[in-house]
Amino acid sequence: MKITSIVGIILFTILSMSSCVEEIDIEYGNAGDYIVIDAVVTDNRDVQTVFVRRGRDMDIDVYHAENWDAIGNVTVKIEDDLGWCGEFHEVDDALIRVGMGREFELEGHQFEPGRTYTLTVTVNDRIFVSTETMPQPPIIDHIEFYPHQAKEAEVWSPILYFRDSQPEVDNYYLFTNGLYWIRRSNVNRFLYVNALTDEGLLGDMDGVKISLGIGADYLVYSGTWFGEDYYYELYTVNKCVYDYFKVIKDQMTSDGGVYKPAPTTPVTNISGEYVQGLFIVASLNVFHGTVPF
Amino acid sequence: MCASAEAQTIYGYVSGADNGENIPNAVVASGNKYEMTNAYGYYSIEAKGDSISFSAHGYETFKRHAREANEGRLDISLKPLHTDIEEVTVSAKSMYRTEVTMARMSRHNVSAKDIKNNITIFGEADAIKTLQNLPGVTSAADGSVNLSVRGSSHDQNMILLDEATVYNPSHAMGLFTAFNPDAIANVEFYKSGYSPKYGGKLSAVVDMRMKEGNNQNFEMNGSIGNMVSRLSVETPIVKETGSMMIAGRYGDSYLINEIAKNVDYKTLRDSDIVKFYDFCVKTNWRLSEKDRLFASAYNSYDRFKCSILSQDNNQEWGNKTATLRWNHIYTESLFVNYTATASKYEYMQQQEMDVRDFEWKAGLSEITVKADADNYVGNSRLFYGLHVEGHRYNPGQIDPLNDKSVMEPHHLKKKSMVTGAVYMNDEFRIGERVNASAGFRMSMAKNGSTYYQFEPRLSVSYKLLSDAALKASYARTVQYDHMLTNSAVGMPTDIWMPISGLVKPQTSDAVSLGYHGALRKINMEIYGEVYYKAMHHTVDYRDNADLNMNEDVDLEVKEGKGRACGLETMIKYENRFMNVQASYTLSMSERQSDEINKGNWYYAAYDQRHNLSVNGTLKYKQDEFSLGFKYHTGGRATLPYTTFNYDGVCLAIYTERNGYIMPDFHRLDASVCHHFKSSEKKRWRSSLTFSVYNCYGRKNAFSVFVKGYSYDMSDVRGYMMYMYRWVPSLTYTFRFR
Repeated sequence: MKITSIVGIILFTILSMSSCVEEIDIEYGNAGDYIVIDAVVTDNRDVQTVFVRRGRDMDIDVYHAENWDAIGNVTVKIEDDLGWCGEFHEVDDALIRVGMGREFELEGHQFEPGRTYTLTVTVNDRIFVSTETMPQPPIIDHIEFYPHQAKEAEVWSPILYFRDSQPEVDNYYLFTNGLYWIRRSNVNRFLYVNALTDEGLLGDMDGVKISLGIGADYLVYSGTWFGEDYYYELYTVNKCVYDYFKVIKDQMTSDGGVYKPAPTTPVTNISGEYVQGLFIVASLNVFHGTVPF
Repeated sequence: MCASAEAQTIYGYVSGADNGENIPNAVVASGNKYEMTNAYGYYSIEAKGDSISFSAHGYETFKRHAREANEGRLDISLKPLHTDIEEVTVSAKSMYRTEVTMARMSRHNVSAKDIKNNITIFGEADAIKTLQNLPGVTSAADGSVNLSVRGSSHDQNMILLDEATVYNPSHAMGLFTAFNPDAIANVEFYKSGYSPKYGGKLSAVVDMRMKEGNNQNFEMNGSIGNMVSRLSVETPIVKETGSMMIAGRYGDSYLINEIAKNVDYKTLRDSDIVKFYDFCVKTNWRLSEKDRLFASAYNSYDRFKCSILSQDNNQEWGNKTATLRWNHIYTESLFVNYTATASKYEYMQQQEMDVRDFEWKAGLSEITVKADADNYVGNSRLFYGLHVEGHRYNPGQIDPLNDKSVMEPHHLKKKSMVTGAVYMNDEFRIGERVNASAGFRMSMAKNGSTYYQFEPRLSVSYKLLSDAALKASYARTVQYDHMLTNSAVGMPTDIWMPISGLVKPQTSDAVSLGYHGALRKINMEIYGEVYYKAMHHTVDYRDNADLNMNEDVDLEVKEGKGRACGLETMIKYENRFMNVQASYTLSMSERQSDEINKGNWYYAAYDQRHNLSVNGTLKYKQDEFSLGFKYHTGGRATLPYTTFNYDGVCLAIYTERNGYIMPDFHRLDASVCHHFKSSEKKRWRSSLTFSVYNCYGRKNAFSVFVKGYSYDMSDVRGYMMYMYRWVPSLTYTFRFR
């Protein structure tokens, strides 16, 4: 009895006085002159969008627009390898829609896989340029729903069956999923994304080879139920985009655990000093419907 | 055999009278000449005087007359100096003189008793963590067994157990060393400038020897702790001819899990699993007067599942080694040891993800055959040998975990490498004051490409006084395999890769200058060294590298270089009632690679500018009181400089790699050990130890990171993860013989 008590007291002391994670003060730098460009053009949308905003200091309240420095004269142009050229126009309520920047749109032009596009963004006297080629989309076979347990409830996750249309080229895929009513395309896109390569169709762990298709990442999205509407997008992108999203995912899942790689700064495909963001030129497959009973 | 009318070559083994085990590093002195026994307790000396003295730490000095030798052969059994609680004082003055003035430098010998005196977490004696009290040695994180020696990373150390390589020396993700302290007889630790007998790693050598097994009496040792328990048995098979030792250890967090169900304990949850065991066996046989055979095997296994450290993934890893050695005395001055070793390290991770459940496995193995000769020629001692090694790497394979999984088996191509080396080294004296050790190692490795490397080694000692010497050394070392890791802690998912056409062998040039002195009258030892190390072709993964299951991982690796320098000091004091050891290190370690950190030099993750360690034990009657204090500048991490919004998510822009210095680390440990009364005749002896790790509950950083609000990463804040505060433990230790 005595020994049991001693051991009990010791263990209780260990457990009750131990903890794990604590907030610390870190001195951050100034966001300075960083310009962030978020541009997406696809072959399957009527409207192409570009957001331009500034970097942000780490400790500001992002939900109040007055905390953000305004961006002065901005022009956004795009041209392809056949000589076509178009200019994006600014959306009036951009500040409201994205909170802290300016939004530009381009309508009425059909973008095509295989074409090379050059984006030029001018902010005051600073010029930012990026050139990318749109990859070919995969051949889609079908989509089905697979039951699995998520937090004691059975939910259905999508499995997409598709084949690589360019075996000679390394293509990469971003697979988004979301419920129909929150399907806003750009915002939150990568909260529900799996980044994949045709080398092994990567899921959460790089290099994992999957023969049948892919499943939604139920850690961030718990699946769908019978009768619900679904809406999924499959972006076929190049390696630069894939790497960018992979770094984003590393940053978002960083928790100091020893298995997490040390996060790094995403490497942009836009040239220029103090610039961040990405020019995504993607072919897009869209899937929507109702989860069958 | 008479070498001359005056000098006679005396040779033989020095062993302990209590257990019959050979004693390495015992000093054999005759006149003004002295030699040290080799790792197998063998010596050979030209006795010029009538009397030969034999001394070893913890044993009574013993004197014999040269004419007592039987045709030159003189085997000696030394009586242990200690009783149960009596201090092992260093009575043999020649021990000091030899240690201090010998040419070898940057070397520390750690005995089984040193290991057991060190205070560690959960009260478990730990061979590797004892080394962390030495100058120039730091650990990767609080509680970790991984060593950074003189600015190198932990994969650049060679850990040998009975000459077989152990690739992952940790249990429970570094909480414990994977070696049973009751099974370890001796640890030789070289920080630099070591004999060309050792090669294949860039930095330090930890050469551990298992006990041979008591060939006089049956003996049983063990302990029962709140997390780890162990038992070892030694017994003669044929008295004074053959003996064996079997030791096992088991660790389980079951008790902690049970408590965790009822308290809000964040480090370990009730669903977490920490289980491990290790098992070793060794036997030795005296086949004849000139032949001895040793066979040993070791097996360790870990199962680890921790929500905080490993995201609930089930992980398993284990080491296996086997060693067969044959000692043969060809002549009184030529001792040769033939060794064959096999070593295997395998690690596995199981991940459950809806329909993508999979199991990932990797590992490496090696087979080594070598012959090492000790040749005593006149005033010099010549070492030479031949080593051949075959290495096999499994960089990774994935298999579905169950029938529901849609994963397809995917196995990366296995790699292999053959390495070989010849070496020669001569330890000799020049006049009365200079001892020197000069040699080389010529090594090669073949894995598609073939590399040859010449590794010169030189160390010199200049005797200032009878017990003080200035020392200098230079060593070139080469490493033919590399470990890629995202973590400084040493994880089972670390990837080992051999050299290739793209990745060259790492090399290092290290110079040291030092002073080693002893104040014999007050039993004090003083040690100081400065060093500079330049590393070439070091490897680091590039920013945003794909390391896992990458067939072309060579392309993700970038070559670079490194440099490290430092000042090390240490004072040791010992008497019958107490011993104190204090060490301080001032050091710097940097890396550079063209494609990392924009090509600028950056500090290594292990860079810790100041490092202080003070340990002491006081003995009073049947009790021992120990205190240990450790301080070092915080390690380094990579943290963001500022942030930006992209697509509704706040992302970070990082500055230079390892640009952030973590909070300083310091910790005080204390223990009280009570030895229960027993007479010399009693066969059962026991003690109870109560220890507290981190007495004042300092929150020492295990890692630092930033994290934003989960939905959009807004409101980014800095966090520190720490592991252990106030860890008390109670251990009952027993010995039966």
